[in-house]
Amino acid sequence: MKIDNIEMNILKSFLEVIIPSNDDMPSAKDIDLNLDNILKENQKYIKPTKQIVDFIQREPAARVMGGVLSLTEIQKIDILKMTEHLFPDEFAIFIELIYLGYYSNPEVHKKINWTLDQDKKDFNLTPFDDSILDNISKRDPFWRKA
Amino acid sequence: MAKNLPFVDIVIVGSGASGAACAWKLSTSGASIVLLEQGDWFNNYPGDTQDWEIRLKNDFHFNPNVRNLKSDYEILDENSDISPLMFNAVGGSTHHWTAHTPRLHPSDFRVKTLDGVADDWPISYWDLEKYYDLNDEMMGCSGIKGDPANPPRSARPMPPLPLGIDGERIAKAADRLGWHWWPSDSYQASIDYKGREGLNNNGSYHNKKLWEAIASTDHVYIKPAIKNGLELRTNSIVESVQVDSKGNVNGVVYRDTKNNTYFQKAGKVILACNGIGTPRLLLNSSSKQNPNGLSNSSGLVGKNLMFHPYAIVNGYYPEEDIDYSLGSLGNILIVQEFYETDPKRDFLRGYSFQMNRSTSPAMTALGSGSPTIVPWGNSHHNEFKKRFRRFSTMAIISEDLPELHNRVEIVSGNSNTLPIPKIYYKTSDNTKKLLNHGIGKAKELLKEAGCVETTTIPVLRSGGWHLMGTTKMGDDPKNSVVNANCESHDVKNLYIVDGSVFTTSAAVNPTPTIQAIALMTADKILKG
Repeated sequence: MKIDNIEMNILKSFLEVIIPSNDDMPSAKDIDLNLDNILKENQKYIKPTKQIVDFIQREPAARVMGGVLSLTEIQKIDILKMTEHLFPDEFAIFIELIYLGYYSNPEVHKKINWTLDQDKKDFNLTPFDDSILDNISKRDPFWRKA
Repeated sequence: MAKNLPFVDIVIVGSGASGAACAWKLSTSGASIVLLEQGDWFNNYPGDTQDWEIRLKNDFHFNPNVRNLKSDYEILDENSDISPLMFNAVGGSTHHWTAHTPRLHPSDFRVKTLDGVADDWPISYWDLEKYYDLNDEMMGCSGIKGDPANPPRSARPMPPLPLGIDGERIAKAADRLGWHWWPSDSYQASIDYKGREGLNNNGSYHNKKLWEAIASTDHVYIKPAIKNGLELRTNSIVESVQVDSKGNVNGVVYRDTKNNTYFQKAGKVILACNGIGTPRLLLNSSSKQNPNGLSNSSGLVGKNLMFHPYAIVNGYYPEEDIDYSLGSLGNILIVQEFYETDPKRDFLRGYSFQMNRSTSPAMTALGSGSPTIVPWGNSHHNEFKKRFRRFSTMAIISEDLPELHNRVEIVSGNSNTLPIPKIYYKTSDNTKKLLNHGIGKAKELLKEAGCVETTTIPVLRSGGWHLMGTTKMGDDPKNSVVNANCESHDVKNLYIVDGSVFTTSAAVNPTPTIQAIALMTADKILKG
């Protein structure tokens, strides 16, 4: 089972509603979420995603005029809210897919000042200093004898 | 038809925290020992690559039902408030833990005598003390002596991990409230230790340096045991424990990945398959002699499942310029002010606070420690910014009292699988009251530390790390499955050394105690 091109295009048309842009951050549509690879490597997302896309396609608003790709932002939000209400478990997995794609993106990491460089100087914490135990160390032992 | 394999002195099933420790201790004797493990060697840790959080939610998920690797088996948990978690490989769940390693208190072994509830253990803290010490030395414990909430003990081989700016805030807040706190004991190396590189920091929780700093039993116990002559067989799924016509244990039947089956004859069989895998195996070892499963004359195999229900309180700091994600995720400090029974409260026994801290981007967005994910839509970025690197977590780990209706049963799988464990578990009224008390106290502590907002998860469904109680230890064969030596009351030379044998759960992470029991059992076997 896999997500076909039509389904992927529908999914992508909702990305900017799920994670919109603001002054600091790109929308989920503006960056590469690497969805093809994530879906290929992790089968658990495929069935729920197909179910969400199928529901979207069946929505009356999506079946008139230009179809799904012509939906307004407000219509997309309404459809997503209804999908979330009707299929909460599947929707949660679908959102997990989008969030993982978004927050694994190097551009997003840069925007939020996140790095995988473990040797970064700022990460080197001060070793434990036992002077912080001065107060608690004054307490008499209170473990229960048995 | 199973192929008969030559006799060995001892077969151990399971190579996780307890099976590995037991195997190492026994391997020093020169006995012929075979260790059967359903998984394989593992070192494919996520970290240092962009996809590491994706892997945490998939092939490195805590939950075997989500992970669904070849080495995993399905667990039916629809009838449980809490999902059981485990990792199946050489080293077991010590590949996938924070390595927070407090000990039980002496009072935990005497709850019937002290508080009139559940049962006393047939062993004491003092029986285990030297094995705790040995295990701390082997696994490598970072920590510091002098904790007034626990008995005096020898110095740890490594200093505590750094508290970090948030840990210091919480510690000082506890001081102001007059509450106990102490730096966590941990099997994460804070300095270089026996070939492990010390790690006193990590910018993003999961990375390969961290995994290598945390003790796992494949390195600590199994490799030295192999040098001593232990034979490890990976990808070996044990189907049943066998007894002869007189009811004496005489080996196990297992299969390999090609579905070839073998009968490994042995003088002693030791089970170390965790609180779900062990009862599953015993229940699947039923026969005409033992129609209700092996070692089950008490009817208690699979009963009294205990988890340590967790409640989670996140506290959010107002400052935007401080990074509260730096340092180890969970080995920071422990609060045991409310550990013991207090007659003034409306519940029995008590709890610990374990401090956790802010984590990585995707995990934050997906609701780490929070009852809700960061919402999708227009408020997404503002809400993410409010949470990301801005919170401390108080995890309330509760004592879970044993109840017969909380249990593991087995149901038929398809023809290619062993029976599937099915879990029934309801959080008790006592636990709910206990957790509610803990939630209130956690909010008080976080507020004192400077947090301006808190969120709460009353019972963490995804928190079934600790699997205990399903083959209870006791002196009375009618009311327990194994004796004080962890030997079956019913079947001579059949031993159990995992968390199944816990008589009660206490309110701390169980791994050092599980390992101390395994080392003690091995010692008793060696001494005859």
